Amino acid sequence: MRLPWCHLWFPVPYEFIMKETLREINALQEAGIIGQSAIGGAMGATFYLEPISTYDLDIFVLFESPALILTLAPIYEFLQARGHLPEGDAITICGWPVQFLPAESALLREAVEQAVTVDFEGVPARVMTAEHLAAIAVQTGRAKDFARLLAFVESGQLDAGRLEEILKRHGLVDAWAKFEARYLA
Amino acid sequence: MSPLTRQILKHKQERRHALAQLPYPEKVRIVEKLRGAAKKIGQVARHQGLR
Repeated sequence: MRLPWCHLWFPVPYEFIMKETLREINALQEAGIIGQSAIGGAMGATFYLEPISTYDLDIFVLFESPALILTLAPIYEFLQARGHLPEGDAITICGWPVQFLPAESALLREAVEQAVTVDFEGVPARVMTAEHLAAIAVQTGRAKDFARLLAFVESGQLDAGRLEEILKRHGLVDAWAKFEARYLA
Repeated sequence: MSPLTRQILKHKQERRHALAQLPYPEKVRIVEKLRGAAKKIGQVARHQGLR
């Protein structure tokens, strides 16, 4: 079993932490503990935008289990055996809190299924598309989500047609219209 | 929303509050860490045509 080198060389240079963390997430998938997954949240948005203040890496996972019996225990047991420490509901991988979240809404499931694969310096990583991240922000609707949406709009990163299709498919057209009227008018 | 997701979101909020209480030098250390990760993500994203 290949253990992460962050346990051997310490402290890990900050720019290598993400790569090592992604390697560990891939190890979970290779071991058959999780199915498809994708980076979302603020760290996902950072692939398209300027850095966004966040301290955890959100990994959305497709679970087979019914919602009422969802558990993260197998994920944490696997990672703890590799020397990573739990921190509340997150687990710290190479000093980085990683949060595994069930992709339980139709929008989140689609975002995981349609995520793009990027080559993170030799480590494959799946990242939600900019349009899905924006649609999730519309759905979640907190103040910080609107700030992220504004950043997406201002960046010119969104494919308007693709976003519109996602918003229609998930009943978010009215929520988007409210956002537009309030912040883009 | 499942009980698990509700619990996760509650813990995320608690973590944000705990981070806000950290001493300033520790917050600076975290910002440095984030800057390192964000720099690397930016390089990868540009290289992969995501930006």
